[in-house]
Amino acid sequence: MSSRAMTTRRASIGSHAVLAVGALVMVVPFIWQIITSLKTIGESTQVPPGLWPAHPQWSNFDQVFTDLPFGSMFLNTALVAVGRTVAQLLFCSLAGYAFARLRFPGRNIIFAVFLALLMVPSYLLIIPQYQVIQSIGWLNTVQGIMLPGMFSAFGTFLLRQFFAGLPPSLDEAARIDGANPLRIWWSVMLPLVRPGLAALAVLTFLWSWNDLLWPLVVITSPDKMTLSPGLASLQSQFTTNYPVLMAGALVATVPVIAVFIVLQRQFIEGVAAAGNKG
Amino acid sequence: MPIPRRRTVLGAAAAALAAPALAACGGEGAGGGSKTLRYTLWDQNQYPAMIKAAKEFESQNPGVHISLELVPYGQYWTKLQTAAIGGTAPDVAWMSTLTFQLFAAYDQLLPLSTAANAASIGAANYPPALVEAYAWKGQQYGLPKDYDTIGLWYNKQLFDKAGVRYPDATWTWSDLRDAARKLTDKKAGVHGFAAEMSNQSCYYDFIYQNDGFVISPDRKRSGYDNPRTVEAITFLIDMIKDGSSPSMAEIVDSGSASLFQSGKLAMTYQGSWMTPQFAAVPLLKKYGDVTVMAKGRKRATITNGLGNCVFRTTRNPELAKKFALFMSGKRTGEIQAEAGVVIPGYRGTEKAWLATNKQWQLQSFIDEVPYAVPFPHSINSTAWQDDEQTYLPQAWAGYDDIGDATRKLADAMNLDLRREARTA
Repeated sequence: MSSRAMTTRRASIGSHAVLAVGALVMVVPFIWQIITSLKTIGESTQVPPGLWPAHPQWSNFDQVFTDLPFGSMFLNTALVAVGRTVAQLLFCSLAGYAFARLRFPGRNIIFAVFLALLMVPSYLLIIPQYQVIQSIGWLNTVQGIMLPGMFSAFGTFLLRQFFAGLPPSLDEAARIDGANPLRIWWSVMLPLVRPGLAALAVLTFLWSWNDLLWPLVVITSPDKMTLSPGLASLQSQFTTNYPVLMAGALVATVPVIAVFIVLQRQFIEGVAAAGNKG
Repeated sequence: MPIPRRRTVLGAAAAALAAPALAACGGEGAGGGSKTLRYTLWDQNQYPAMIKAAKEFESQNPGVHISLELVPYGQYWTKLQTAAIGGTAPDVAWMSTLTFQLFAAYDQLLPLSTAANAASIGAANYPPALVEAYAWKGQQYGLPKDYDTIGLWYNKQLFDKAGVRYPDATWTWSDLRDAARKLTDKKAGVHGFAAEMSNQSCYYDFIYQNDGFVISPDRKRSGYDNPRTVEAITFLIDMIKDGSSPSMAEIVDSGSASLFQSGKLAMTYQGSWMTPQFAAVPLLKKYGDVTVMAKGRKRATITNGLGNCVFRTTRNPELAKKFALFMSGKRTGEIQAEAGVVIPGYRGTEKAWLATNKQWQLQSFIDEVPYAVPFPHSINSTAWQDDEQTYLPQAWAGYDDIGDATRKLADAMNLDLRREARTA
């Protein structure tokens, strides 16, 4: 008995050690970013690198706000990220539901074509998408940034897999009760694929928050710009003020981390709920 | 948001051009006598000076609004090309000597004058190498708003420690090599010089100082099979072999500028653009200095400079030309010089730039102008710059014989240049 407890304990120490090393590897770059954001330019590029700044340069944070219209960039980024996430949840779940649960001619071929879209590098789409946005007259608008990211082949694929995993008896029962496909999608299916929706929401939000090239191409005026291009503009051709760049990146990351700390609980709840019902 | 009905491409382009104008003027329409010029640039460090200069242009030209668009350098050309294809390019944009030809070749740019008549737009006031670099097929597409040259930066503290005389304008390649050897202190981790695989601020300079060339003057042939070119590269790599330069891996890991800033490098060739960064490092502010590069068979420095070019799609061509010339002109030069980031292109305005860091002999950068060589380029320079990145590291790291690597590079580059000639 006691030896068994010992082994469990030893195993738990072992797994904790492995997890601690993993956590350290994940956290160190972030700590390094915080330290760098407080250094002078000279300290940040020193060889070999020093650990602590002699005098923490809090002014680096002030400079971010004078160099960039941070407030409006932040607002635009949040607007675009939320808009794209909500739209993807709606459109991808509709499409995924149709591909998984509805029978219509050519379903598999159309789905295969969708999947093929995953193979097209996004850079290839920049110019055609630009011309589409241009013909709508949405260049240099926030909705112009949002539009191409409101739907994705990946999201459709992801949610289709979730829908396809649900028992067929569910929609049969709902149909006998007189529900139409839209009703089945909304009232029966969506609550059951919550973990899939949470995963897609997390991925889309993060992708949108980091999206660099597309906003840059569509937007021309600084007050409509998002954070990623703003931070990228702190890097110059030859020299970069790394401490200020790190300070800016830090301020840009904090809200995302906050969002995920909040979402994390729902994410886990969603997974747990799905487990109970299955 | 309702989607408006489909319009013609031209109409959409005009609408798209008008949209930022409306946003910028706060509702003041184009019919109200106000005109907006969109000006695209990439350097955050130069942004404040550019805003100041644009404001002065606005006050001299009532009713004109300049909308500055700062784009990160990494995505600048992608953005400009996409916008040009869509017909929504800015009115005026920063160009480099390497890229403006591509836009000119696709008929995107409006010449400022003919090359023969460049004196009429004041070309005599700029470094000739760069005026020439912005001419293409008999047309002058831009004037350099700034320029850069390369200097021999050194750390006096390390020179004093090794008992070596400071470098000066009399130095030749052999002085450089001997000093680099003496200054190297393996125990302290100090190297004499960085034989860096960096084009503008290292091996291109050596190649032209040795009377070699990267690309033939008619831009049809590679210079990497030229014996003088190969000799220059060999001179550099020999400094790595005898230990007076850090290895390629060490330089790539830390960066030559970082090594120099940390007192691990006694001498390094760095561009004039490093001045503000070096000034922020106390060690270099106190012990650093700069002089002209050592003389090889002859003197040479690679020079580059940004030009202000006008896009053909502009709706106010005369105003855009006037603005492009203003942003390369005397007053903008003075404003740029005070900011201390780059050397202004307009002759005589560099004085304030020299005064920003009086502790160093910054005049050395200006002394090099008479023998400056424009950055080697052709219409599609990136094609053969990729070749350089493929073959030269092999030689630098010692994996491949220098002669073999340069021969392979010459072949690849010649192939690219033939391809370029076919499409042009």
